[in-house]
Amino acid sequence: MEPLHTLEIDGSAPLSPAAVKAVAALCDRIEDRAGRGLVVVRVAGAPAGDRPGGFDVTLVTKWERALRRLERLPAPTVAVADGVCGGTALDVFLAADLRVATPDTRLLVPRDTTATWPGMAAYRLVQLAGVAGARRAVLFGRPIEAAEALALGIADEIVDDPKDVLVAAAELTDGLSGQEVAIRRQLLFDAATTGFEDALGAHLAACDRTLRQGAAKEAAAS
Amino acid sequence: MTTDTALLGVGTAVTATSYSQPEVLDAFGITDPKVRSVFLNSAIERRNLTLPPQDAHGVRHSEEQGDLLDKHKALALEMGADALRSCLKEVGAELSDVRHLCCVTSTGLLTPGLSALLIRELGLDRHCSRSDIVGMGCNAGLNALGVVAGWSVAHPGELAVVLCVEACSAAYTVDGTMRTAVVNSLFGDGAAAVALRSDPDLTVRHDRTVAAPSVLKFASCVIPEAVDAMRYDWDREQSRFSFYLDPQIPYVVGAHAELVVDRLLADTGLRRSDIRHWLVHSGGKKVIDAVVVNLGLTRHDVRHTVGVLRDHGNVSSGSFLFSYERLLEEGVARPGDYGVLMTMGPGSTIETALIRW
Repeated sequence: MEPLHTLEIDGSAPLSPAAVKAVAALCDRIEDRAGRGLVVVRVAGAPAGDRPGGFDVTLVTKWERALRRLERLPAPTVAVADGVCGGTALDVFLAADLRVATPDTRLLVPRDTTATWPGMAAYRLVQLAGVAGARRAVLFGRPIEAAEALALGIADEIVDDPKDVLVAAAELTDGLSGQEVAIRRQLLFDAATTGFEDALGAHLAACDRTLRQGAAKEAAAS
Repeated sequence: MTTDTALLGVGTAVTATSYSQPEVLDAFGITDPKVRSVFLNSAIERRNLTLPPQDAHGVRHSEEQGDLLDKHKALALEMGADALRSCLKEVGAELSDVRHLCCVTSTGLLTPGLSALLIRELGLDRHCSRSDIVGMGCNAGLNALGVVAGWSVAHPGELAVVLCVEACSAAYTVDGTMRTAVVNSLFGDGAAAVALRSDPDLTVRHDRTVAAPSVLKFASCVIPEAVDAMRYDWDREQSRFSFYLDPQIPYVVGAHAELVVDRLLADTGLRRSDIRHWLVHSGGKKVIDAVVVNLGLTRHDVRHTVGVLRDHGNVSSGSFLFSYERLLEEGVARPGDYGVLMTMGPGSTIETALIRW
């Protein structure tokens, strides 16, 4: 199966309205075709300096909103990182369902000695690797090498040639309803932050959704 | 895109006394662990209720139907007047400015209806046009909004108010069964009013400091196969009206949520992800969960729905306006933002409205 849509994010470029637009346009296309398919995002590059600039927090808000939308798309998403990867590239990488890196991938977290730029990348790192796993990167800006990213669960796979991974990812997600993936993902996110009693209702509602689909099929067949 | 009617402002009111769930259980001397568990796992912390008087042993007993109707009338007038005044204050209008008053209630029957009683009680203009939406349940606030938005378009520049008044304390049956336990654990007293006006000259309301979203469109979905799933009808054994909620309700509502929201957004050019604000009826914990899962909403999207349920219980038809009031107080809605209002109730039905700031 061919990937449905692809996007490239250059982490060396500063955050810009164009980057927000690119992610939003991808989301528009996927949501308008809710159903089957795979989203592939290629990310590479890191900002030259530690401190971003040239925009205000309104743009950061829009960027984070676009990332959140990407993270909740009704389609499985794969991010492929190659080489150094920071800034917007790291943001997008962490928001994908499947995260693949090449052996020379280094995830660069900002290391400004007098200011803090966490973005929601810091949050996503903790969600993926736990506080202990993310501590050195978030507190001290220590780069995360590919092997460590794999060990911590930040990357799912390390490959020499990302092409092979895309074929495998396409097979892994083949035939999945994007909308159902979105529901599973939501249950997954909520499970990390919600107590059992609070989570139960959402899981029962998802079960009921499936039972109704089965009942509808039976009714249609009879 | 049918109207340029704006929601000018909102006001809410509750009765004086609120109770925690353990306090309600104690007041009725309920010890059955199953019933207690229904109350304590309801995601409700407090509710405003007017409980029956205590007997010599400090126990509160079920009231006669006549007493309940009296209670409905007294509470409805008190809360309704408070919510109406607070709404008018919010929009900078006087009682004499109201040209149409639509009263919504399902927790008691009155003839003449609440609109007439309030016009007398508050001294509104005797020529104020009025309507009463009675017996439609928790979804009825949006049914009323649809009708009154139509009235507003036909009467540009004139102020209309939808007033939802539910004295749920007057719909209580205490008989120790699970049927009544579910109902009694959920509902609270509350009233909410929202003022509408269709302005031919839109600049009038754009000058206002209070953001006033336009009502763009409505969509409904009745689920006739679940007509008996939510009902408030005569219980012969108890000789009173009694409310019934089928355990399947949350799932039935969840299963139809996408259908009606897709219909609401059809031909608007909007995706579900374009909706910045979701104002869902605080129907109960399971209903909210089912809507969240089926529409792919986040916990953040339903923060006010959950918050209103926690602080007031299900106040029936006015619940979504309590959420709307909290959203306005947050001050996060920006010009151009879209919002979806969503209520559900007997029928079974889901009502929706699309608004834009």
